[in-house]
Amino acid sequence: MGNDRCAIVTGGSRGIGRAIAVQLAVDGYDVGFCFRSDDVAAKETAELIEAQGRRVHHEAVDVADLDAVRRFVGTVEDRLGPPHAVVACAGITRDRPLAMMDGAEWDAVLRTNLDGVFTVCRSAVFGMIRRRAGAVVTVSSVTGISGRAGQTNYAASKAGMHGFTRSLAKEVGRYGVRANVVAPGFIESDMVAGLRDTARADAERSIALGGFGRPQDVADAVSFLVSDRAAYITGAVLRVDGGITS
Amino acid sequence: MLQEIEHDTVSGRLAEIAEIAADLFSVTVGEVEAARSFVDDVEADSLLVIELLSHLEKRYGITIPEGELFRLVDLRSTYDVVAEHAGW
Repeated sequence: MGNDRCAIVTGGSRGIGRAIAVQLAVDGYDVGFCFRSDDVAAKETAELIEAQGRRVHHEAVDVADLDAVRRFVGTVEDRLGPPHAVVACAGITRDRPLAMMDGAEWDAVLRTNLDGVFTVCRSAVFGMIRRRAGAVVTVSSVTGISGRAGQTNYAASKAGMHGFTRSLAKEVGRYGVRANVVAPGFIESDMVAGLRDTARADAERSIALGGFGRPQDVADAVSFLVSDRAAYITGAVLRVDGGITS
Repeated sequence: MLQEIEHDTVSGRLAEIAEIAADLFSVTVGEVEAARSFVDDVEADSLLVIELLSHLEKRYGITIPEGELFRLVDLRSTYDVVAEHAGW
């Protein structure tokens, strides 16, 4: 039993993106997701979505390439229908102290994380305006709020999402389209798997709830924000961080 | 005779579109008709032009592709866009 709606997720093959894609399938959406290159993980995610009885379309897309993303969104529309929910979750890190960061590390992170938000929203927004319905969620990070040593590039891309999403909310609210940010803190995923024990222990000490979160915690927040229960919420930044930034 | 009827239909539709635009941009029909550029002459920002497209789609039951947004410059070109997609 579906809700006759379709959702698009970028960066949907693993980690938080996978949890979001699968949760939206549980919520009754057919799901179109893209990923960079991990075919194996993407196939697993697709199977998890189909196991919910939902249809899925997935393909490898360079999220920084506007034309490629437009084509991807067009394909999802043709196969699954017009997207109601658009979730921008594609993100990478290239941590380096600024004094040692090279141009490629800066560019790669800004391109994937911030250009990738522009491309998918740009590709979907006109349709949502025309249908007078839609909900955008951009997945940022509490690093975009508080900053973090070694992540000037990552934090810039995430903070950029906040300005983008709030502005978008103000543009499209008149058409009944909403746009919000979910800002995760430390979430168990490949991205934090490499943390040294001391770094992990330090982080946990600053988290009110005492431990790292799970991808499902973020997926639950996204699920809520794209649903009709969040009908009066737009331009918000919802932190899912166990209290680390409180 | 046929030419007269056609002219009336065209001017009737132009007037209708002018009214829709005037209402949206909060200006007079006269100002819409005189404007060579909605954005420059009646201070319609791009967001209002998107709304204009949306209103026109609804009013005439048509679909105007987003690529046409840039053609909604003045009354005449807006009429042309609608006419093309409405098959007038």
